[in-house]
Amino acid sequence: MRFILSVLLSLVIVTPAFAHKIRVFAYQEGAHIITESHFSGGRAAQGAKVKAIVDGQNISIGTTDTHGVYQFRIPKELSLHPVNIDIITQTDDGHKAQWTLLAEDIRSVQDMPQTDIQDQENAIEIKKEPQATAQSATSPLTEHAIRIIVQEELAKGLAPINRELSEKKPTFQDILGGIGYIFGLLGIAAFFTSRKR
Amino acid sequence: MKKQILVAFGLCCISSPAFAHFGMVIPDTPIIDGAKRNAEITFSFSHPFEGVGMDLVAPKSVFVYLDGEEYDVQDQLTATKVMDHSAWKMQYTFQRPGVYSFVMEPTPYWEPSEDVSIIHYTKTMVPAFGDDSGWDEALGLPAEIVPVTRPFGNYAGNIFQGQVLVDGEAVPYAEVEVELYNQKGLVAPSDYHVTQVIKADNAGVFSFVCPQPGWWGFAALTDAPYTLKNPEGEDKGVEIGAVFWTYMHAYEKLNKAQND
Repeated sequence: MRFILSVLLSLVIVTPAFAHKIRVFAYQEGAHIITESHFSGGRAAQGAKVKAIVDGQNISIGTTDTHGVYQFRIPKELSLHPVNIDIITQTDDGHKAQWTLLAEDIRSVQDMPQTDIQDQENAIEIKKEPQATAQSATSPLTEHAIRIIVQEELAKGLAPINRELSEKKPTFQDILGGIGYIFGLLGIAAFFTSRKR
Repeated sequence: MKKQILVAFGLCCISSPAFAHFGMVIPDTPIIDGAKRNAEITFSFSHPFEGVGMDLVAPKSVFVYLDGEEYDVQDQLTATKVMDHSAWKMQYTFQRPGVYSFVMEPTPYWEPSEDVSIIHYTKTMVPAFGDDSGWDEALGLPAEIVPVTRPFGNYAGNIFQGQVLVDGEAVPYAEVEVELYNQKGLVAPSDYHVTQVIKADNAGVFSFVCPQPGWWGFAALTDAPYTLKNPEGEDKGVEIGAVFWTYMHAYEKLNKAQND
């Protein structure tokens, strides 16, 4: 099944997407800003250049991966004093899109619970900052605070699942193509095994 | 015998085009972008062209569908008025890109003048942040219209096509009633124009060109294979409606768009 999927994926990847409109979306997940670049129709925009800009200054520049994702660690200063972050994505052929991550949607990294285990990179970085949860440890947890923490944890846990779900599913034609590939490979294998005899 | 009564009844309906009932799920913004990330969604039951409302008791359920998941949002409804009748609304904040389907299943509505209970499964799609995937997928409702043309980002004068499904099966030659949510006080030359009627083809697919900007409602009506009791406790037929709302924008010149 995995093999079929990867065959399908490679089919998807080689298809040019120049006619499509690009879009970008960004959100905070733990100590990182995750940016997702897609073409209309849902295909990931790979290798797109992403810039994060605050007050005309680049705070991060990078390239999207095969999922159209580029992520960067939110500067501590920014997480403590949130301002709007403009995310601009651009492909080599000139397609461009922008998203503004609003200051009100940026949470302080210091408020993050210590058990941020959504990816290893995160876990390692969190370990380097043992002061991260000092504040929440001393202050008593109100019901409201607990509710917020649970909501955040849920949102974090669901984010990758949601991302997975939102990725374009293979169409019937893709599946037919994949089956075709398999039969083709089986045919080649059969040809060589029969030659050995 | 029963069939004859039904036919006679059907003829009555056709020859005296009373205003059609429409379940309505109407957001205050048809397309969500980065500049406005929330919407007020209003749920009502009305004659949308004539602007005549009926009381909508608390819906049986309200769900938001996104990427194959469904989220129960009924507890977020608050009471409001639409066309001077009780209706419901909620504030919804869009968190991430997607095509959001807002679906209301109303409590059955007893209509004495038609001698049936009416259940309109009503669906409206709101795209957010540039995503445009999944609008062509069925949600698995008891009755629904699945768009064949993309149901957003269209102009008045564009066609809308949809497929009528009941229990997941296409309904060949389904009858579909069409009304404009007439918010500008347009006048119909005759009662025929208030509710326009089209029929689906043998695959349950219908087409309609929407000549005016605004919200257009499509109601595919079928008879349920079951009965419900009316307020007097008698078993009566049930009209199942698959209702879909889509917004058509007007072309606007640059300077006018800037003034808006």
